[in-house]
Amino acid sequence: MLSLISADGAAAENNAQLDSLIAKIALSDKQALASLYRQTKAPVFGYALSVLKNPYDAEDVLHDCFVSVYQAAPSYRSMGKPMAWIITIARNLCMQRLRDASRTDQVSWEETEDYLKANDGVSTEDRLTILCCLKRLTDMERQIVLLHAVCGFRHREIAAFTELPLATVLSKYHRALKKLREYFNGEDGFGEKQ
Amino acid sequence: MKSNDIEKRLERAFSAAAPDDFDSVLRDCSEQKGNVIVMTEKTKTARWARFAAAAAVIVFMTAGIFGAAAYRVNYAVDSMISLDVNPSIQITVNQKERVLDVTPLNDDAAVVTGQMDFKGSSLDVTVNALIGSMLRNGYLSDAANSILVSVDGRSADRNAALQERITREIDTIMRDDLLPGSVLGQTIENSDSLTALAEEYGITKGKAQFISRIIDKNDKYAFDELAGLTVNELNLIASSAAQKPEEITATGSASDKKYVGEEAAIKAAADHAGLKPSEMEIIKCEYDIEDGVMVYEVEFVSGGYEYEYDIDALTGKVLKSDKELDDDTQAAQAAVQTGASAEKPEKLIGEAAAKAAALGHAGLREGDVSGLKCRLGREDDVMVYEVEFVSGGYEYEYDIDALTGKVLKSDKELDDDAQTAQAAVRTGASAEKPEKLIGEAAAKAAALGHAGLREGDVSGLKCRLDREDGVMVYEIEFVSGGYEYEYDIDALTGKVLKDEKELDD
Repeated sequence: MLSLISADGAAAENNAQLDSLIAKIALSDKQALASLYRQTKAPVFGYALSVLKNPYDAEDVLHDCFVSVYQAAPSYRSMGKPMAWIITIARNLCMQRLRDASRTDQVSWEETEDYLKANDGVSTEDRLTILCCLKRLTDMERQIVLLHAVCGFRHREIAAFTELPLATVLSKYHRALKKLREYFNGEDGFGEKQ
Repeated sequence: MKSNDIEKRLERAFSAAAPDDFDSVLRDCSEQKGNVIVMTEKTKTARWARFAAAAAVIVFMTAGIFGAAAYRVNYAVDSMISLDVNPSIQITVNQKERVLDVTPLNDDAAVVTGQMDFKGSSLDVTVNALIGSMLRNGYLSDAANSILVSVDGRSADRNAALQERITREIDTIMRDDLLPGSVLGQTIENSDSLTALAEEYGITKGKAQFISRIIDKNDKYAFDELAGLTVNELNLIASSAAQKPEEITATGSASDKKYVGEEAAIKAAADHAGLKPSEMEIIKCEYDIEDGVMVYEVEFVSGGYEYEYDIDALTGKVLKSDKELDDDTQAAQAAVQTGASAEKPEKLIGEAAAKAAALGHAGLREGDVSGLKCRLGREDDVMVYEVEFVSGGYEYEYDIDALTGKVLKSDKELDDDAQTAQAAVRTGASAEKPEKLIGEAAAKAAALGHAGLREGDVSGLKCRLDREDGVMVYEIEFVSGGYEYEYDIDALTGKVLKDEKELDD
């Protein structure tokens, strides 16, 4: 689905397709909204989960995000970056939630695990992958990895989006991948730390 | 496991986990059917009314207070005003202070300006509406209350007057919203270097100047390190070191509500070091920036050791800890080397021995490696030398027990630095090529094959090894039959990752 974004030509094509969906949504085309939802719910949900670390809140953001997309579509001006627009909306919704909730208001890992277990579509590997992302990565690392791997952002787009220097984005990205790799390989390579 | 596989695995997992509840979206969209746009307009007007009223009062007030001065000088020049919070917005006005254009300079700014059209509005009303929108959208809040106003115009006097007026106005608006703000004001001193910096980093000249002034005061910061910060973060850093640039006027102080606070930071460091606050002599605790993250830099002395901590300002987590012998203690230790000192700090093996241990483990000599770094640190309560170097396209990282010289951790991975990889390939000198590349000839063949052309059919054939999103690719360009072709070929598999064909102009 969104993996096609990794190649440039395909990305441009995909962006053009999303752009045309948004143009139709601006004319209240619900069918187009459904297509956009199907195509981009994973990035939106994944991003929200990576920021909020709470699947229930992420679900709400997913819902609110597409209601906002529907409302805001008439004012959307394509700059060839439909994903950045959608994710910016998601980010604002996440920020609102973070402001509203008290800082300690966090869901436990067990609850998150139960949430994922309740979904038959989520395999054990998927579940462990998500939990590893949530537990082992820092907030910024997780966002950067999600933006790249799931939202299809390029590193320089992530730098622009997060307003971090490109070098920082790259180093955080590689650090995060290293952590994930260590976890997926089941051990810390050779010479486990004492 | 390759990076690509990890990314795929993540994508798979989050795609599977994303719920599919389009019906509820549809329901909430349908409830407002037909008048969606009107609805947003409506809420906008309702919320706006407050700001419009405030604006009217302020315009009235400013007319009273500044009226006389305004008439004398204010209509003389065109000006550009930029507002930086995290959203960066640029406003240009004509001589009569009517808005010519409002430009959102980043995505956040586009959210703030939304559908509002300011052309022909007065500057005051425009500023009011923008600040109102920033408050509504949460860009200005009690957790981030700083805003930078920069004025750029032809006359210095006029710039100063305008800047003072706008900062005061914004301060009043925020007070009305019961949000004590920190409004920073400055006038832009035009210079080419500033324009270049602003362009390079995609920020306003105002923000570029603010950052330059912070760096003037404290040269430990690098421009690119600060360029990504919000104005509130910059404001905190500038005031934390008590070296706010004098050229900048400021009201209030930057909010630190988002952060855990100095006390918590010191406690986190104390807990990590296993000390009680009473046993510590704090040297400093101030905001700093590490890898783009706001931290408290905590330094203290205890029991003959100097401790240095970076505490994540948002989470209170220890990001870096460093413990080393106090200079005084070191001298004392040297002096009493032979005698029995009461509390003798453990003896470290020294950097040279640590480097030797790491190189020995890797089977390399110092001459084989570059970028050799060695730093004393602490890992899981053990003093270690962290040794890093690069060799043969690989990055090595070691933790060497600082007391025994034992290798505690070793890590070897492909050097991700595109330049290093490219340079290594360019010279062709790398003894052990990291992974097997297909070579330029095969890459060209793949591209030509995809285009259905033979080498004889094309001109200007170029091939360059590069890195795209962490993948080594050959970038290939050529011209044929009036078209320009561009390809990215996976340098390991020969797969076509990108193909573009466009009319040659």
